[in-house]
Amino acid sequence: MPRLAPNLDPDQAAAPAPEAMIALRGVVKTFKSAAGEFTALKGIDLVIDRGEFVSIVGKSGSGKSTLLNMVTGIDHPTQGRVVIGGTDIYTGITESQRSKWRGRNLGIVFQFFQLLPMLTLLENVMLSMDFAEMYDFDERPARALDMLKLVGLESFANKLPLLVSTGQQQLAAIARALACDPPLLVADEPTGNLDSTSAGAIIDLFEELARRGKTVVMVTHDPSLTSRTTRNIVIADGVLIGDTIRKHSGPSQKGKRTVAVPRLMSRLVRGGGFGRPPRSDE
Amino acid sequence: MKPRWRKILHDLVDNRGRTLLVVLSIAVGVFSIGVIAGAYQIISRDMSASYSANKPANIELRMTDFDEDVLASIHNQRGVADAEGRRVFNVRVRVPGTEKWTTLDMVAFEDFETNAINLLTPVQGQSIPDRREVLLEQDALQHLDVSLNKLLEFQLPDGSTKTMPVVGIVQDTAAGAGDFLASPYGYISMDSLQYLGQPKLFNRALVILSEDGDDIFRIREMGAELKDTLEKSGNVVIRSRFSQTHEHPLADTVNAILGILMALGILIVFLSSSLIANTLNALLNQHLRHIGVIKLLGGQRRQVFRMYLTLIMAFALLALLIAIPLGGQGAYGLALFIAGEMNFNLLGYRIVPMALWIQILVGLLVPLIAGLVPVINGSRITVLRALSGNLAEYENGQATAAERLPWFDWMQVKLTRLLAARGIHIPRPFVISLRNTFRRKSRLALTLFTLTMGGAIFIAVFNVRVTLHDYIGQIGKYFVADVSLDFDRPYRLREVEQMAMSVDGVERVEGWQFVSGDLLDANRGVLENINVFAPPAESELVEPILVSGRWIHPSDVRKLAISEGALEYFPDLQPGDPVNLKIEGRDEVWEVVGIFKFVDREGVLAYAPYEYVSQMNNLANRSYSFRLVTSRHDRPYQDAKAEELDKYFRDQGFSVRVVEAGQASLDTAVESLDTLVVFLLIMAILTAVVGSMGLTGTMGMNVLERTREIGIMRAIGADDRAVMRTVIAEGVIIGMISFGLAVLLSLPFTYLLSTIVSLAVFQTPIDVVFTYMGYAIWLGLVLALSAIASVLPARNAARLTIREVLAYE
Repeated sequence: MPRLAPNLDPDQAAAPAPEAMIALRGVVKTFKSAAGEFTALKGIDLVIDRGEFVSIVGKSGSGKSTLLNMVTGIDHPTQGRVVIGGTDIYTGITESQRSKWRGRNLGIVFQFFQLLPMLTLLENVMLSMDFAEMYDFDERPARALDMLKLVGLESFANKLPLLVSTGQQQLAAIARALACDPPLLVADEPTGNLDSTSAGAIIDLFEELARRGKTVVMVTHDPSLTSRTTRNIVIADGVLIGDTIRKHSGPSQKGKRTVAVPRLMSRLVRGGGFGRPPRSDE
Repeated sequence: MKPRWRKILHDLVDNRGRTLLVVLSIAVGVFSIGVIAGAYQIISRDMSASYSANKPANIELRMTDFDEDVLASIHNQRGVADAEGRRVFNVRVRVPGTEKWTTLDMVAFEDFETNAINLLTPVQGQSIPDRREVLLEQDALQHLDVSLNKLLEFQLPDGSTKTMPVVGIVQDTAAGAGDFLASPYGYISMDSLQYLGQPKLFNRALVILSEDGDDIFRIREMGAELKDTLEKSGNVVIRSRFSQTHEHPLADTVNAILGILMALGILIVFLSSSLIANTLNALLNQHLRHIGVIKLLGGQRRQVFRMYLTLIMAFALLALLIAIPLGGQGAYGLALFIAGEMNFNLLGYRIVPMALWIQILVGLLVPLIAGLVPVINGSRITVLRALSGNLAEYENGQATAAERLPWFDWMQVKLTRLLAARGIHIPRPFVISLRNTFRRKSRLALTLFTLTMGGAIFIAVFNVRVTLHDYIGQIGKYFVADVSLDFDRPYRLREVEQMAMSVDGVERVEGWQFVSGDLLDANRGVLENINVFAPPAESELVEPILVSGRWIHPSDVRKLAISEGALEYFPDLQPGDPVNLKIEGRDEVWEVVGIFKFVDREGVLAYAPYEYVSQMNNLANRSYSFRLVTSRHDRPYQDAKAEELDKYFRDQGFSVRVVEAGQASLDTAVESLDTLVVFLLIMAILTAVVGSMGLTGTMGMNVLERTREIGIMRAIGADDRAVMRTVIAEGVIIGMISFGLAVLLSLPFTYLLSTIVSLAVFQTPIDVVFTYMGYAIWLGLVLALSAIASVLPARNAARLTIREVLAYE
């Protein structure tokens, strides 16, 4: 079974390289139910660097959403450690503190947008700043409007989610995710509920964000989207079975495939630490 | 068991919190109605039974001293079954070694063993006192810290003291019946009278009629005949009281009060039914997917209907299991409390069948009716709609071009925008609370209904309390001064005034006179007692509430201002009209100059000027009774001055009968009324409990339905406090809205309750007084209740992990 990072001792694992945005070490997730136990993640080791635009693909039930839940702090690993931006998000931190941390450091985009229906798009964007207590209170409306401008929704700012299209709702959800200027953006099937035009726009936006230095991690099962990311991770039965890095030649060549090298191989050869291993860009 | 019934069993058992809420909602209403209905039945039966068991007198004649011969002549009167004489006088007593004097009404019996009227029920110790021994009515123990076989010190008119042991405690159901202001009673034999400086003569005749003991008109007629006969033979009847054998004099009042409580009980049932409707609505909404699956598998509408109807019946049966035994206990407890206050006995603990049936009927029907609409709607739903799992207004809604925003939501958004345009930004978490409040409008309406009703009744009860107290205060202004000073013989006004003014703190002294007689109809038949007070016409102590006409003038001759109680006999009575009176055996015609408001329990009250009445009584410039105004008007000061004046006048050789602080008698009346207010308050608290239960349920349901949204909030950075704040703020907003509505609704409620209570207690509507107290307490209470009601759902919300939330979806 291929693994993306070698087994290392915990001390080494606790000190990921500074450029690593996400570092998972030996993450196991087991669900218990009356029917018995089910292990959704079987010892995942994974490192994602700052500025990467990563797609995670896999079949239904492969564990991709569970993996994403580990990264976002939405669920707890049964074993292993998750370090995001240098913070071990499951050690010595309560659920409540994790929420606060998430608000400040992470933007999440859901498949079903998950905008609060009683708030306008502008208010939805401002809400995350309120919760995270980011920016001055009076500064938040202007910033929220800037975020909506970024996604082209400024003219819909005062509409309730109910009154805009699904594509616009997803753009608003991205604006909300960006409101606190988090370094990491995590998206769970962000285009799964959109038409192809809207989906294209969303991916364009993610590419742009990645170019501006944001780390974007996206779960998808749409093969056409994986070609747009700089790195593609494949998961099956709770195990990472593939990791492909593509080199884009630049913005003008957006979407063009470059030669992908299985990341697993490079890591095995180099035997790097738990932190970001040198990238193989052959 | 068929799977569908097993599902219902699971629905009942799995969500224990919801089951408990529904069951308690039903149980509160059933309990309330059970308590009131049971107490109503027990009291209306036992009150009169207990009263009549003690052989109450139909006629009580308060007379000047008379002997055995006069009593025999009364006994021999046609239509009289039995007659007994008593000597009743008041005396001051205290426990030796203590300072506080208490006035007792002493009743001397000729023969305790053969006593057949107004029987005494033994409570403790002996029931027959020997010479120089005293029995106390059990109520006296509230005023005197004395126990069995301990001595009591009696103060005689000449100031000397005598002691007698308390050999028994008895209950006298006739004592004080119908008189809230009655003093406590003590009982001695005629042999002890001389020891207490009293003549061995009667001054009160008690008569039982041989027939028509429940015909008040016949009783009055007989009373008038007896009085006539007695007066013709030279006796003076000062006052007469009439009572039916099988009806407690306060039965009407108590029944009226129970009627009010019953109305409140019914209201609580209504409130709890709205609570049930709310919870069942939410339950059906949560079960839509189940219904969808049932229908998908071939379940028919009537099968779904039957399943959920069975669930409701199961809730109802569980509620009955709780409410029936508690209701029975509560009913007896309430009846026992009222019996204690009204001084009658209950016939023992029992379950009242009618109350039981009412409880069963209410317990089954109310949830059925309340749940019918949600169940019908739920069973009618299409598979497609049921599987989409939502009946909510726009929650989860996917936008379509055709969809339009409800006007209320549109207004809210507009308002927020308007404020934002003016630089006023409301924090978004609060905006969420605010807008969430109005999302489930029908649920909100039902919650507000229960909470508002609870609040309005709560506030109204406080207003009613102040209104009653104010009225007692107003009544006090008819004859209550800071200190009342009564002598056993008349003294010159100037003499008493000079002496009293020499006591520090006494500012003014008035001599009053008093005359009593009968109010006659056009045929000279006796209608009612009339008690004419005669203060100086210019007295500042009397502040009448005039309904019509004017107050008395010094120059008035045979003119009086009469209480509106007279309107019962002369509905068209106007100032300027004549009234026929019988005063000291003489038929006289007096002119009514004014009509004033007053409680009439002991006959009709009237005022005439001292200037005229003193001449009529041949007591010009003299009086038996004086009213004093002191520099301070609080109870402790009045008590101190009464004590000082009592000692001072006795030391100066005056024959003092009684000195009493004005506030003392008012306090007794206020205590009686407060008992009534406590009942009302209990009901108000019950409605408030139902209201807060409604709010808890609503908040719980809201949180449950918004689990996904709470998850989103957590996902974008809301910590525990932020989530809890949002939920609690919503509860508090609902509480505040209900407070605003309760303030408005408390106005008509106050007027309604005050009118009903005053008609029951005082037989007259009274002016309503408002107090900030009820509003302030309710505001605090509703804020606390809404916060508490939201805390549990809020904590549950904060505990949800996002994965659970997403799984919920």
